[in-house]
Amino acid sequence: MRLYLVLIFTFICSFALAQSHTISGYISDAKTGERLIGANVYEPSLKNGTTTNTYGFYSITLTVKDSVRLLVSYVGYQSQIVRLLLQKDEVLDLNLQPSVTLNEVLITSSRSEQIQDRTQMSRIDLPMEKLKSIPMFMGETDILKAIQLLPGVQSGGEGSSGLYVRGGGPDQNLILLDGAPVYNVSHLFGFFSVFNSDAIKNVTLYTGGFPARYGGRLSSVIDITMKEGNMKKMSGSAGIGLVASRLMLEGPIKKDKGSFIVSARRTYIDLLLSPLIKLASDGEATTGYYFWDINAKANYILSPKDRIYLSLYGGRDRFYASTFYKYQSAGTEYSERNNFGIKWGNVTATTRWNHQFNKKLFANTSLLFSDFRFIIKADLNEATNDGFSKTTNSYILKYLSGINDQSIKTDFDYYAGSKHLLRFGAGYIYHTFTTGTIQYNYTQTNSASFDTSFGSKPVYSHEFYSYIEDDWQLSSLIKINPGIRWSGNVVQGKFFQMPEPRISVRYLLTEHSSIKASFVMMQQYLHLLSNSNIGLPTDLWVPATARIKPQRSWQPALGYSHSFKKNDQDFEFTTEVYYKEMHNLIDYLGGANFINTAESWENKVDAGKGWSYGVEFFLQKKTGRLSGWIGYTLSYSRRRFPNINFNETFPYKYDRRHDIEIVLERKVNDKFSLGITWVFGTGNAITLPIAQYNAPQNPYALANGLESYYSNTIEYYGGKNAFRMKPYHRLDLGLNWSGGKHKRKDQLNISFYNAYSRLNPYFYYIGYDRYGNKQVRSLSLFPIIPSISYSISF
Amino acid sequence: MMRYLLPFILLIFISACDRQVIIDLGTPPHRLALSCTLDADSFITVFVNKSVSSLDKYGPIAVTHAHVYLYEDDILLDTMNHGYAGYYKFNIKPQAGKSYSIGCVYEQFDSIYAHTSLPYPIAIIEARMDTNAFMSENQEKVNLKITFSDPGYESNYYLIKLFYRDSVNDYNYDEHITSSDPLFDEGDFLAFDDLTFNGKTRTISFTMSKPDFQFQQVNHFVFELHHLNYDAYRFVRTFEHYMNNYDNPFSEPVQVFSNVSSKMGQFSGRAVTVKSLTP
Repeated sequence: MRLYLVLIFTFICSFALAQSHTISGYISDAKTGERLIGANVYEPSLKNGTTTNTYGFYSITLTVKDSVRLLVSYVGYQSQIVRLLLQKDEVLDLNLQPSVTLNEVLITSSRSEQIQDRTQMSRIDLPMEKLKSIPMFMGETDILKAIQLLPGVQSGGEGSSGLYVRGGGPDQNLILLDGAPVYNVSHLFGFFSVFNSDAIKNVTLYTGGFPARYGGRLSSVIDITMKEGNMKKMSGSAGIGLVASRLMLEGPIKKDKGSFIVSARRTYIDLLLSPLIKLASDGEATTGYYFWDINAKANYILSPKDRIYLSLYGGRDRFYASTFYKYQSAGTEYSERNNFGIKWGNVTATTRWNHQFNKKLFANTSLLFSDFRFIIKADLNEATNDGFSKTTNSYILKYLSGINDQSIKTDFDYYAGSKHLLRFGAGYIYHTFTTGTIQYNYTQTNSASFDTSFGSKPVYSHEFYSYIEDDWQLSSLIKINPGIRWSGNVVQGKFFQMPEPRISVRYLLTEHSSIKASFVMMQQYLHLLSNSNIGLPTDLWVPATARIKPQRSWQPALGYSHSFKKNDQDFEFTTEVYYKEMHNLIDYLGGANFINTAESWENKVDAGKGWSYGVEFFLQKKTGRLSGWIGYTLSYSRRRFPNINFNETFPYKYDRRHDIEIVLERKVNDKFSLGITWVFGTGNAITLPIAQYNAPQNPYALANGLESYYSNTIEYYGGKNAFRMKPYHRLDLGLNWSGGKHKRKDQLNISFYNAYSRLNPYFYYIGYDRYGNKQVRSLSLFPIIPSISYSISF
Repeated sequence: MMRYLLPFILLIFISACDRQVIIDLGTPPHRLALSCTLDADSFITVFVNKSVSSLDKYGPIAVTHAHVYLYEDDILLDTMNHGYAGYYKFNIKPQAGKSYSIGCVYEQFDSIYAHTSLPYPIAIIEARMDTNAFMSENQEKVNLKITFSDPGYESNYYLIKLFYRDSVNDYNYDEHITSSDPLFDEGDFLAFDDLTFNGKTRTISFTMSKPDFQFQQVNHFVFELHHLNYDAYRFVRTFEHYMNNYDNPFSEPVQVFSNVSSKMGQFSGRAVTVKSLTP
């Protein structure tokens, strides 16, 4: 009890500030007016600092001195030092100038907030400029592939955009685009992510120590913020690559008051291949595939304290095939037209209203919409014409699955004093799950038609939450971020709820190093049914139900952060140890067939437990001609389900013992830079038959099934996921050239994906050689793939 | 649905650079496999064979000269040293309520063993076939019912089979049965547990295609109610899934249950109650 009283007293006292004033404002890009997220504002002598929030707002309360010196910094921008006499509360909006090259971000006179200063652990910010220097796959900058190059994050396989964070599944990542969840994040079966880098301003990844403001997923949060658009002048960029082209336009709606940005992308594989396919089939068949996506955003400053944003994203993948045959026989004309199409995609929309109540209280209210649909449509039209009568038959089959979210939330940032930043808020999400519905329609001339729907009916759920967290400077050495989130969910008349406590602690060992610890509990009210390993959109989002309960996890982590200089160049080193336990995970039962829609998905799965643990190392060189990072993860991830693998534990498919990433960028001169990426990962764990034995032909027949001496051969797997694929490793090289005159900037990128053409396994299967001998074969997708892309900015 | 999805998935592989590499599976586990289901009214027969690599072209090999030991309640009942085509037939009928162990030793292979028990039979209170046929899915069907009483305070497992007897050719033909009860599946047999009716009398209704009573060889139908022990139940369920999904690229691999120390094969018990239905 005494301990609690002391803590409460300390908490109250920490708010009581004598002789202090608040400096608040926004930090923006001087050239475009874009607000900067996560810019540092630091008072070195008081060792007090803060960072701008998602909307570029900051507020810092300092004890009164004759003068204060604020150091304002942001990666890729020239730092500013602002001196001011602090005699009253001040509003200070600042514009930072972009630096010409990254190595100009040298801070020698003083220091900004560095990694060891933050309470938050397991968080990595990805500057978009850095991402663009990473060698590209098929000429496309890919945010998710860049995230896969960070410790603790693993890719599913060759070319895949799937993310497996600290032993978690791909459904356990909360991927937010301007606050709206995106459910299917890949185009072209997972080879490209849906995020167009031209429209993205900032990416922040959390793999643990989640602040209470985030929830609804167990394993990670990827918070992606779209650009706002240039407030000052019209500008844009266009790019052309091997598979896609893109165009981006941005400009002011009214100078310094509002802006917009529109960015679009489309592939042209279908346009190139379609004529060839038509030619090869004598005009009887067409087939193709394409995807497109579009990002749009507009914002307007209503008053110094109010601003509204509207963000939209839409994207579609479409595969189509059609055939048409016509022939005559015995005076009768027959024709048949087949159309088959698969399309899937997301639409998200976000409307946000920022309101600054006063110098310390900032609020944002959002209306969010997210929709993911997967549709298969097949139709067949037959016609018979014998000159006297015409008969037509039409069959239409449509399969539909998806998830739709409509939500509202309000978030508050309250800068309570020099030692507290309180964040609190609440939200509500209305989910609609379509878990596999089939519509079938049959019509025949002069006959009864048939129109029916079967399969699963839509399921509706209501999710709500509230949270509060405090970034609290307990002393000059200790900073903590305690928080709690409470979430609940109503589905099919069943109510689930759980308080989710969160805490992060930082203890400053020296000026340049700290140890950090965190503990989080998470709850997730939806599952992803997936037995494909190639990012197929057939993966089905399903709700937690009375039978399949919400996923839950708890995760403690311990870390060490250290920043240092060597030869005047900045380095950061972090290492983290974590343990994560997950409950109510689902997996397909043996023999379950994901295409069989006649059976409820709940009958095809089992719920069980998973746990993972590991250690991560991350060394980053942030400045200088050579920059980049080296990451290494040693991890274990296992699962246990009562009705899978006979209730024995087994390795998770993506249980990856060793994972190494090396990402380097070498600036040759002002025009050329070289990007090098090398990755290594232990092979995936798969289920493969290793032996075979015989059993009686009919073991359930009477007399021991021995009425026949024939037998059945049974394959022996040695356990689920007991076989390891070969390790994965790959080297990518990229050469970037940038030039241009006046306002135009040209960029040329030449990349070599898998430069030493490693035959990385995509999947294993059993085949036969020409003598009929069985063989296990590995199929590899990509040898060395050179690509070139060119873009201009104007 | 599969035929529509197939071209879509094939597109990935066609467009991909298909480069195949042969993978070495390593040394396969050479083990003994054993299969035996105890029936109260049948002599005990044990099937022994040795495993081979999953890539072996010729398949597993029957073991004809193993030493097979049979224990009842930990007392050695008998041993056999020869089994024709791998089948070792003991001149012993197991007894309900007793536990059994089997051991098998053969050459340089690791010896294997397994334990199980034999459950008591469950009486069929009533088995009935309606003579009035009805139309369903363009077929004439008839209703069947079976009633039995489940023992309480324990988990019980069942398998129901129906077949008609061709006495001319001395052969049993399995009937495909469908249950309108959502708890059950359909197939040549139904296997289920007593989770929803523990300790109660249960009537299960089925339908089957109307038999051709004019067909002379059909002289009677036979209902079998198998009371399975847990080993038998788990084997039956996994074996059924395995057979139904073999070589299906869209289904998860199925591991067939094994309670043999080598993880290959099964040793289980069941008591079968039979009821004849004469049309």
